[in-house]
Amino acid sequence: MIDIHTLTIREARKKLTAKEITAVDLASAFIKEAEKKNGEINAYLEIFSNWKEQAEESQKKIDAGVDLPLLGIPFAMKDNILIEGQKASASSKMLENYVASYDATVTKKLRDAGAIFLGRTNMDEFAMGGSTENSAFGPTKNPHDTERVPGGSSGGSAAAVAMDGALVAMGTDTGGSIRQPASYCGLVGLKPTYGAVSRNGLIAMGSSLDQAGPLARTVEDAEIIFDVISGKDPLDSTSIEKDFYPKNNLHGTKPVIGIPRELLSIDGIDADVKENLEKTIEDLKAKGYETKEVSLPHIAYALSVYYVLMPAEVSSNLARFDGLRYGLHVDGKNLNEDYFKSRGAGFGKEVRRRIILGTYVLSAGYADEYYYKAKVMKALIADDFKKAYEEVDVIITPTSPISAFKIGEKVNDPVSMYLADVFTVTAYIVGIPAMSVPSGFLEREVKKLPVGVQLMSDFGREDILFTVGKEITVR
Amino acid sequence: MITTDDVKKLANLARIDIPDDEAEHLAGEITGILDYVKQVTETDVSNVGDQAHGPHNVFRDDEDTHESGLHTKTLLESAPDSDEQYLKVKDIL
Repeated sequence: MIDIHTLTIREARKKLTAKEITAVDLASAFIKEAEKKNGEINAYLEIFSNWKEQAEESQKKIDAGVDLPLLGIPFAMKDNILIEGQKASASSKMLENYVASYDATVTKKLRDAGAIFLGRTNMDEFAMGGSTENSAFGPTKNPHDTERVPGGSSGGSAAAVAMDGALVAMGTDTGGSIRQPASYCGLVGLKPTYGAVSRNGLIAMGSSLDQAGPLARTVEDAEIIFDVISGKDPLDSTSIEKDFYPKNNLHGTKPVIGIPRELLSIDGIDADVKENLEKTIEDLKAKGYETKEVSLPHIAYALSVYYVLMPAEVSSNLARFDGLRYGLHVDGKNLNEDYFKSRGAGFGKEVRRRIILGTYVLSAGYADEYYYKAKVMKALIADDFKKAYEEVDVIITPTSPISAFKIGEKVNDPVSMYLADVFTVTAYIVGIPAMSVPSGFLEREVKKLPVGVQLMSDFGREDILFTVGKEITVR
Repeated sequence: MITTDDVKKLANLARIDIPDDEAEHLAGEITGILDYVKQVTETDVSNVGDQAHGPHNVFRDDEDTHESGLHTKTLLESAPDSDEQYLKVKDIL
C-alpha cells in the first residue's frame, strides 16, 4: 500500500528504482483517488485513456535500468499546455474540440525526463481569472472546503494535487495563476523568471507575462521540475539560458529577507493572513535569517499597470481565433459574420470583458494615455525592485490578502476579484521569479483553509527561493 | 465613462458579437475597471526613457525548415472547412 498523500518525487523515485512499487501501481493509486473525487471537485476535465500505457512504458525503462529525474512520476497538466494528440481547450468553448498537433516544449521536456501525464485540468478560460469559476466547463471546488474556490487560473491543477489525484501538476502563471491556487490549496507554486521556461506550445494569454511552472507538495519537488523544464528554446525568442543572469554573492551568510512594510499596510488584508506572515518572519529570524525593511514606492500602481498591459496583450493574442483555421466555427451570412458569430459564441464573459478592455486601452487616442503610461510605470516598479535587491536577497509577502473565497462570492465584482492578485502581479510585471510556500491554516466557519507566503527574488535567482522556501514550515 | 454605444463600437473593432443587455452590463463594469486603473494615466512619463519598443527582429531567418507540405494534413484536420490542401472560407470580396 502506498501512502500517496505525503509522497514526494524523491521518495517515489526511490521506491520505483528499488522495485518496491511499479509505475503502474503508482499511477493507478492517483487515478483511483481522482476517479473517486473528481465528480465533486471537477479538477480534471479529462483523464487520459492512455495513462496506463504511459506507466507501462515507464516501467519498461525502469526495468531496463534507466534513471531519469521524473521517470514514472504522475503529472496533471493544465488544459492550456499542448500534448500532441490530446485535446487542449484552455477551458473555452472556442477550443472545446481542439486536438494539439504538437507537444509544447515544456511537455516534451517533462516527457523526455520520464513524466506520465494523467490528464488535463480545469482552469479559468484562457487563464483569465483567479478562481477557476470562469471555466466554460463548470467551476473547480477546493478540496479543503468544497464551498470555496481553489484559486485560479490553475485551480484544476492545484485541486488535482490537493485531492491526491496527481503527485504534481503543471500550471501557467500570468498574474498569480500558479501561486494563488497553490496558496489556497496548501501547495508550493513556482512562477519562474520570465524567459526561464519556454512558452512554445502554451496557449497564449499575455505573451510578455505568461510563464509555466510546477505546483507541488514540497519545495524540493518544485525544484526538481524547474530544473527539468527550464532553459533556452529556439522556438521561443524570449527564452533564456540557465545561466543568463549572473548569480551575485548574497548580502549575508544566509539570504537577507526584505519586508515591504508599506505594501503590508494596505487595506483589505485579512488579520490572520498578516499574523501568519509575521509568525513566518519570526520563525525565519529564529533560524538566523536577517530581515530588513524595503521600500517599493511605486508598487501601489502594480495592479493598475497589470490590468492595462494584460488586457492589451489579451486582445491582441486572441485576435488569432477567427473560426477559420482551427477552433469553433459558427456560420454567418458572410466572412465578417463568421468572425463575429464564432468569436461571440466561442469566448466566455470574462474573456469578452478583457478583449473589450484591451481594445479600448489600445485604441487611437487611448494607447498613449493607458498603454504607454503603464509601460513607463512598469519600468519604475522594476527599478524599485532593482534597488531593493541591492540590499536584500528575497522579499516576503502573503501570497493572497485573503483566504480562499466562496464560489460565486466575487463573480459580479471584477475589481474585488482582481484585488486578490495584489501581491502576485508585481513579480509578473517585473519578470522576477516568485514562489508561494504553505505556511499555515486559517479558520473559516469551522473549516481549516491553507494559507501561503510568497517569496520574490531577483532575476534568475530561483535558487534563493528554494533555499528560503525549504525553511518555511506550516504552523 | 464608457457608454453602451462605446462597448458596441469596441466589440465591432474586436469582431465579437455581444448581445445588447451584455453590452450595457459591460459598460458599467469597464467604467469601474477604468476608474480603478486611472492612476496609471497620472504617471509622469517625462523622466523615463522610451518604453514603447520591445524585442527587435527576433524571428528566425526565412529558410526552409522542413519539407513542403509535411504538416499540412495534420494542421488541416483542425480546420472547420478545407478543400484539398487549402482552408476554405467565404468570399472575401
